[in-house]
Amino acid sequence: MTDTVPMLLGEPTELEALLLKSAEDDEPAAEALEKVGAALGVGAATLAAASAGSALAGQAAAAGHAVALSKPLTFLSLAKWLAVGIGAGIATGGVAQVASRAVEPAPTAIVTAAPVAAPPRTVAPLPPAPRAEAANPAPEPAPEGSAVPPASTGTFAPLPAATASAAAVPTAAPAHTGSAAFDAPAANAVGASVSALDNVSTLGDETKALDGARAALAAGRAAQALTGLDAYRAKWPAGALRAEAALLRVDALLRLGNRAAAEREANALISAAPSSRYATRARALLAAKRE
Amino acid sequence: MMAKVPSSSQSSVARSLADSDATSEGEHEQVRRSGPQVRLGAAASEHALARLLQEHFRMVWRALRRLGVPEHAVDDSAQEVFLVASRKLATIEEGQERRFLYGVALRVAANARRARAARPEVPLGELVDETASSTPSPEALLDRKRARALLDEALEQLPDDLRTAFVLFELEGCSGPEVAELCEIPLGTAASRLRRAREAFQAAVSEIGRRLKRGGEP
Repeated sequence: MTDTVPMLLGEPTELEALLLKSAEDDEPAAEALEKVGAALGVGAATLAAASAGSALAGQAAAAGHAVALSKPLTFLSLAKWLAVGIGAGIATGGVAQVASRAVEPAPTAIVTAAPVAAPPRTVAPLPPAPRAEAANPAPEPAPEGSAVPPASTGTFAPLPAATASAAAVPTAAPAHTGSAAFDAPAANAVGASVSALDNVSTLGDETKALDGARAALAAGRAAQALTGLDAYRAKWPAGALRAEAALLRVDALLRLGNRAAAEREANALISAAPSSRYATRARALLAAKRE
Repeated sequence: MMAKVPSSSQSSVARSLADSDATSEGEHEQVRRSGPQVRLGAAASEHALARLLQEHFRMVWRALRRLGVPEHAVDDSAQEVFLVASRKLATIEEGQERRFLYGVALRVAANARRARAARPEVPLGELVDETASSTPSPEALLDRKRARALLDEALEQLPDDLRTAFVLFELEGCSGPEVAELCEIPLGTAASRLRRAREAFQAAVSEIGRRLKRGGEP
């Protein structure tokens, strides 16, 4: 058991490292602790007094257990990760792929060393783009209990290193190639890279466009919201936030009483990514607006 | 969801947690009646609970999120965890606080996931919350938040038992034996779950990576 190594301390791909690290600074809103304390009969003064004594210990515990552990790991921004993909994709031209899966700061890296305390109730994570398909079926469950392979009994096998190439992760111990994170066919690399670059550079504009539509929707101007969403779709047919846009569209159409169109939108979203939270929200919207 | 070891081999922590099941099912009254076996003075209780909150609230909150409690419900779920803790203060052994809280959090999160599956209600409030999420913000923060959303998306692909093992071990820094104890499974089973969880997680992240490379196309 002593040889157990968390993924982050092993050899995660860059994207794995990026996603795993992103959990570290997720934290409650500043007022949440006091609210819960009050609900449980702990006065703010007592809470404050306790914090004086335990703040350091608490922070150490929180940080320590969040697999921040001791290995320094530069956090790579998503944009940087995409940028790495871009560079590697262009460089691919017949050679390998992304240069290294070791997490090294690149010149372009945007380092977010200081955790930002984002009140989660008011600032939720940006939604991801919709999932492509219902991929990644869970691996065939191995029988539990006594049927654990002897090799893994009592010890956590090291993380299989190579995750690059297949949707289905090999179940046998994979050979660590030490190479790239993801394998884009060379022929598509440049196209994919350009697309990724567009994606990064337009995210801010896409966000603003959707904010406008949301504001209109919140103000009860569903028609105006729909116009904005039409414009969004025309401008960014493959935008990074188009799933979110589709969801807003479902909402707007329902408010306008166009249930048939809303259902078409929702069904497209659901069939594109049936297990995503977008699908869940689309279903919920349809259900909520049902007479 | 999880194979249970015979009760005779359960640890004191597991037994203590099992006692708190009623609360995690929402039957607070039952717990209120039974109360802690050893009563602390009111002031001492308040102080002990305050310490527990200060030291572990963030940890519990974060674990609940990664275990699948929706953002709009996570404060309430965290409160539920500490409500159980407040009733069990006298029975939580020194040094076992973290393990106790994780144990309760697992149950509370499982209930929240079940509730979500049974009633996939997404209040409009959540959409409104996400309005705020996309207001322009520093790029790094935006990236971090988006990465977190992708992380949650990957975790969503894992079956509950694998997700639990993965979150505890990979994100919360629990040891293998702690995972086994918290999940009430043999160590070998915990190792097996973690291995499968990693495979599933890697597959999910690979898929996300391919999608990002395609420019986010579904």
